[in-house]
Amino acid sequence: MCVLCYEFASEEHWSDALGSDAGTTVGFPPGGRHRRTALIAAVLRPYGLTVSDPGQGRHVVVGDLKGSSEVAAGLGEVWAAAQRLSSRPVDVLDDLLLDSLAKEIGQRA
Amino acid sequence: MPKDIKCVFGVDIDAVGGWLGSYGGEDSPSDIQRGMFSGEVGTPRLLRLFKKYDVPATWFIPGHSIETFPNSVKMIVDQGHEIGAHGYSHENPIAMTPRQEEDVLSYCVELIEKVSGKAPRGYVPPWWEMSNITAELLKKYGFTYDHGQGFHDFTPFYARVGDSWTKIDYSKNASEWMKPLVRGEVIDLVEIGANWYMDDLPPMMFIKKAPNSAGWVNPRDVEQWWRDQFDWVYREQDYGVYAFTIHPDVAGRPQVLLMLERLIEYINGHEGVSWVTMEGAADDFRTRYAFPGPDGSPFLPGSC
Repeated sequence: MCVLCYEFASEEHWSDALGSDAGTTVGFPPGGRHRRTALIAAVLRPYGLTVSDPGQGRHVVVGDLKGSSEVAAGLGEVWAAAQRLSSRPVDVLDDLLLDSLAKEIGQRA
Repeated sequence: MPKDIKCVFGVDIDAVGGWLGSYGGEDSPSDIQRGMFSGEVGTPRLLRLFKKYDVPATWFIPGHSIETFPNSVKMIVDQGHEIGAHGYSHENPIAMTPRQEEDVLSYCVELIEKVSGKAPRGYVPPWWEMSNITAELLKKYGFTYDHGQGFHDFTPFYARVGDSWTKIDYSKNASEWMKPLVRGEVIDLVEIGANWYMDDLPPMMFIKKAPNSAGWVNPRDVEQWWRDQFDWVYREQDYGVYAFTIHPDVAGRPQVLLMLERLIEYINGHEGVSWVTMEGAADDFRTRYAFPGPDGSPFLPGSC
């Protein structure tokens, strides 16, 4: 349990510590956390899902466009929440996902 | 100046459409049944309340509810209330493609015209979210007012579209996001302000799929919020529109119906108060403040 927010934390994800040399309360530097949320959003977008980060604790909220949402208590739980909320199987090798990410990278380049 | 506070009941029959489009209930027979309650039980109860107090109301009815509850809709029409548009299945306008949004709106206009004999003049965007093209569509389909923008609360105004703002991007220098909001264009569409603090649903409807769902807020507490807002408006403004946004899903329950009775009686105890439809309030506003008016007029959003 987080001693600051009393949130039950799931297991730590390896990416939680990336760049955590900056002073933070929950393991992320603010910029790193924001970037990671943006990346998760890009991955979930082709499935019609959204992610929002309340900015406290380790959790994020994964939602669909029809009002269902779930609290994912860490990055490891995001994928499972996405699978429950999506009508399409969530697959890292899904052409839909890969095409969408390729387009996103192309737009950023 | 004599006191003139116009009070309005906007009633959104979200019902089954709400559970399909906004409240995460599409896979839940229990939620769908709650939607049926709204159309078949809650709506007639509210109609009886309005009849008892001789209060006109504006019912914003999603197309799904019009087609699913024809008898209830007929009762609304027969009782002389106004009918406005509110999506088909309470879809989020900013999640739809422009084509989808227009298809939904045009079909719902057709449905409303068929059941009421009159094309709708008023619109409530589901989720209170207007897309980039919503205002343009409303003009195209003959709407004269909207109840969806939150620039003001108890003073109507003309809608403003095309505001732009800069999001924070922590991967960039702060100077790149430290930019003020740029105001868009004010258009000839009256807004009766959308106000979450005058809405019965967020505090009093339990939504299983929302991690932060409320639903068990005591209606007497909500009554006190609404009373406080009325008292402030009545003290501070000579003219204003005090608009409730209620849903038969919630307001059709006994504890809320009793609260509404108390509120109507409380409001009726004040001089210079009248109950009107939302179209009535919007038309009255137009008469007072013709569009576009000079800069700094009280009817431009954010100017008073």
